[in-house]
Amino acid sequence: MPQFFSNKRLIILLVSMIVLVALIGFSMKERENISWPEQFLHDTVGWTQSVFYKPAHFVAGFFGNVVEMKEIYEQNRVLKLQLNEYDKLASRVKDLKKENETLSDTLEKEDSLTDYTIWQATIVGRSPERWYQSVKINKGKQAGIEPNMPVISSKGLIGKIDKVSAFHSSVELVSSHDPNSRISAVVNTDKGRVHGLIQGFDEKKKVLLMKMIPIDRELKEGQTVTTSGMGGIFPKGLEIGKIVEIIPDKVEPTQTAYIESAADLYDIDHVMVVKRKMEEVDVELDDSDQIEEEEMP
Amino acid sequence: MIRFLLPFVTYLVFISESTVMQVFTPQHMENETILIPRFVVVMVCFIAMYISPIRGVVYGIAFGLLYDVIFTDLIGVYMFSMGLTAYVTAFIARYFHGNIFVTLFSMLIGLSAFEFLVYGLYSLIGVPKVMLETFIYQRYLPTLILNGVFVVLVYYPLRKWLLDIAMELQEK
Repeated sequence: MPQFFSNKRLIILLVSMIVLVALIGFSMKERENISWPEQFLHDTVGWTQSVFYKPAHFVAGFFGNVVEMKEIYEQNRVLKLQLNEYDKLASRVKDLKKENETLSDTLEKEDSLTDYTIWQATIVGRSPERWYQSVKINKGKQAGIEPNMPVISSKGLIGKIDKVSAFHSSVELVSSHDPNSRISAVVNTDKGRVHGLIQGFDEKKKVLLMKMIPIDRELKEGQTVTTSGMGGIFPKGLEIGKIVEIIPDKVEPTQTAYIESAADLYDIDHVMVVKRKMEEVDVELDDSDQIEEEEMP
Repeated sequence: MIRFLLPFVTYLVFISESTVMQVFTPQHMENETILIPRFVVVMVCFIAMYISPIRGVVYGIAFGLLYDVIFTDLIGVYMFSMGLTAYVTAFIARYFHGNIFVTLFSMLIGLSAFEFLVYGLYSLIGVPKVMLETFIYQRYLPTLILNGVFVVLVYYPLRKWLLDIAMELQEK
């Protein structure tokens, strides 16, 4: 039986280990965005992915529809009942909106943290390995998307933009293992607002962890958690999920809340990328300045 | 012909992992197990076994790099793991030849080596905060079953095709 590794191969193995460490070191650096060869690969793979993803989704969707058809009748009845409620609510919202506008005008406040613009995007692929949880969408730098923008589905927050190439970008889901990702969140209770940070994901229980909540604040199960808009990038008021369990920390005088995500992180096909308006005002001003300068000569 | 067809087919397998398989093996919040398609690894192992170990290692490194760039933040982990897996599988398979069960067995050893390598390397860096026990029951065993089924499904056509390619290469 020959040796498992001959001398020459042993050297190759050692060299490749060194290369491995060097590459990991290189890619672990805090990078604003990926380098251009990586962007090129992202786009190439993205295009082929979109060719495959849509037909597959169509076929899967067809069978899903057949199953859904059975439930539609019952659903329709319930929805009709709810529609009346909704009408009432809609008119009330309209009143409140108007009132809000007039009040904001009197305060001469132009934009609030809650305002944002959105881009619609479709998912073209999903990372098969689940250590890094990411999905790929079909909008990129060309559409104006930048790293760290929040991404929502119709139900709630699902993640933030991670890497951006020219025509595609990847979204890091909130359930990802990235220790650096923090989202400042808030719970509206009867006794005021309770702040905390969404940080980490419990793989076993499939819940998000909201940390750094002061121990003296009382929280209840079922309360809704939203983004607070304090982090700088995320707008205020995006729904994250509901509290399912609260546990005091062992060492620090804080408590941790387990949060069940409002959006289904696995069954998504259309998403919206969000940009806070508060910053966009400045950007627009810069642009208009540039245009004027160009027109001058 | 081979020069383009084999990489192209492997690339299609790579794409199918992130698209078709993600639609047909959906994951839901309440679902405990995680099925990860490792078809590229299977494909790379087949190439290493039936064409040549060196070719397998080269394919492993190339597609591992692609995997790293597209799906993860770290470059190198998959590249290294896939290359080593291809080598190990080819080494095991050299002594037992022919039978589908033997191939399946060595594939499963290769896949186990691969899964534990990736898990080990990531734990070293500190990416996942998952206990070894959770990893085995939630991730490793279901993944092994899924990919074992894939090996059995593609064994006959793929082996025949790869042996044809190997013959052609030898004639040259």
